[in-house]
Amino acid sequence: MAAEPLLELRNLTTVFPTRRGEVTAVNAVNLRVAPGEILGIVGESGCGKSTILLSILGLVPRPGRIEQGEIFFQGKDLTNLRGRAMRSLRGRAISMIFQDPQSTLNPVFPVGEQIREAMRLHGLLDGGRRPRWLGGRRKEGEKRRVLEVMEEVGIPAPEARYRNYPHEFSGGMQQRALIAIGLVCEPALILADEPTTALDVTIQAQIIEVMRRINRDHGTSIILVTHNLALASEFCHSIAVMYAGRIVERGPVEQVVGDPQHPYTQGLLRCLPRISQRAQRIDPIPGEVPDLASLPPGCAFAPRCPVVEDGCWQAELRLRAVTPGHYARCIKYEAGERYTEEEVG
Amino acid sequence: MQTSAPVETITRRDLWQVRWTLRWRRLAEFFRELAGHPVALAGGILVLLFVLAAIFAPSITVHNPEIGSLRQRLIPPAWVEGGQAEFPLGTDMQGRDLLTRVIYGARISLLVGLLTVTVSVAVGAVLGALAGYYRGWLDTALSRFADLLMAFPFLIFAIAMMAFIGPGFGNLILALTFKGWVEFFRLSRGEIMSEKTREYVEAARALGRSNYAIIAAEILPNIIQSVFVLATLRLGFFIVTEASLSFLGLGIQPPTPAWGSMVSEGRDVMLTAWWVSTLPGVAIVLLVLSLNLFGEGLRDILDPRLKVE
Repeated sequence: MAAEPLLELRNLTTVFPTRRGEVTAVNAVNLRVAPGEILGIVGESGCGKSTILLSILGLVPRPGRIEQGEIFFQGKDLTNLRGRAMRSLRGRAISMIFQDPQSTLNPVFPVGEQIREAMRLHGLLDGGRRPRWLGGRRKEGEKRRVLEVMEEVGIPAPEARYRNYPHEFSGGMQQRALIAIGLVCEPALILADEPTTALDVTIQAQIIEVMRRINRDHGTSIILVTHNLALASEFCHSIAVMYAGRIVERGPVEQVVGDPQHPYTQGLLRCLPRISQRAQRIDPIPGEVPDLASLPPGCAFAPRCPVVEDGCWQAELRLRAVTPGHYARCIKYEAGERYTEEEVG
Repeated sequence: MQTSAPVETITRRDLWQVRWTLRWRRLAEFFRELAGHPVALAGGILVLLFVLAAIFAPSITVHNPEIGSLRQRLIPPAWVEGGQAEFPLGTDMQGRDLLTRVIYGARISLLVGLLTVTVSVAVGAVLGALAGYYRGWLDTALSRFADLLMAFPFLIFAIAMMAFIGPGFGNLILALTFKGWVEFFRLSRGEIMSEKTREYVEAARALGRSNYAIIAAEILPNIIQSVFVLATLRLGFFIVTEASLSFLGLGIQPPTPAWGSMVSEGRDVMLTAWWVSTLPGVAIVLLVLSLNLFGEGLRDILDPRLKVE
């Protein structure tokens, strides 16, 4: 992608100290998101995909920490930002949508007020950041903006819904409200952490449609974290597949899904149920996710890999280009004369 | 069908109206639930009567609470033989009208109780919130100090402290709050610790809220009801403790009418004039009982965890 990336992760490594040693949840990850791009991060539970999002916002729960690497967002390195500077970015330039809408909305405030609150926080109201009783004042158009956003995310009759409490919303509506909170400040990047996992399949499709529209109408970049490869291949422009804290394959969606190179991606694709005439056996990947606290040397996927070779157990593998823009971390590309991603820049 | 060009002229007044309707709706719902809870309702009405009597004491009594006439000593209550309608509850050894003194005594009891609870809630909830949210050495230090205070029985501690700093209204409040904040500290610390793990806190952080704002504007509204319920229940306890201290001569000093000291004064004539001690005692029991009934009822109504079931 020739354009200046909106977000660039360079060699990002996030670790959590535990009693059994340090767990590297995110291991030297490089990623780029162009303006207007939708990137999917796919992987099993515990592979570090959510931790990437938390690292971007500087919200890695202690005692976890970003051990090394840089996070460039609009040219600034976010790993150096602290306190107010970081807070003014959260929700304003980068907003996050969580997995479980029911527990993410504060139960004691009306939904509309919570959307409005996001605007107030970032001084998008007349009175600035001060609450009303300290002299902050309301802009007359502010409720209109809230209603506009509610309508945009598909909450019917926003006027009436403004005063409803979260428990009066259905799950799908709650998720729409959350998206509205994420959208109201018109961020450049939305981080979506499994936004549809808690929802019915039909509602899932609607929510995805809402996000697709936001991406199209506002040019907002989106990072979608999901374990659902089918969903990601529907919705994303490019996909990064993660395994045990590392990206094992990355590229445009047509190539990653259409022509998967890494055995793990191939395995994931075989796990997807397909509707066909004949009954078909779903082909699970044998074994389980390795313990991140004691990763063996070599390829982390080797113990489960159907095409494992002797060299896999020692090799220090890198992401190498399969075709320009499509990378995989597998021993079969180590030997050839291929670019590593670092060489590409 | 809905059109998308509404609210061109939303004014600040309209927004105020929305806020107030919301508040009224909540309040109305609260009273509806209270009406469906007879015990709480009865307690609430009694408490309200005590409060009104205390506020309007000068206008609903005719006698002086502190000066009596020695000629009218120890007149029995009106319904007992020898009683006079002028003194419905009789008089004490100094000829002061007992009803007047009981009504004025409500002022002392309620004032001491409310002040103690207010200070205890303020101190306890703030410290508890900080300790529960930030944990670390602050939490350890405060919790150990709280444990230390918990090791003393309340009354013994208050007696010792009053003996040390001397009687008086201000000292009484100080002695009661010195240990009174602990319950609120422990409650709000625990509540904050459990609320802190909920996702809306994480979401607020992802929205760019500061820690202080998360505690004050996101978590506090979620736990304020439990604190409020505990406050109502503790109010009765503080009132009893104040009465005990006054009874022992360590609290409010005569001639100011406090229920505790009134009970104490009547001890000498207990066999001949039972009413002097008994009636202030009945007042204590009634007020504390109704406060507790009201508090328990509030808990049933307000506690969201009980509501779910």
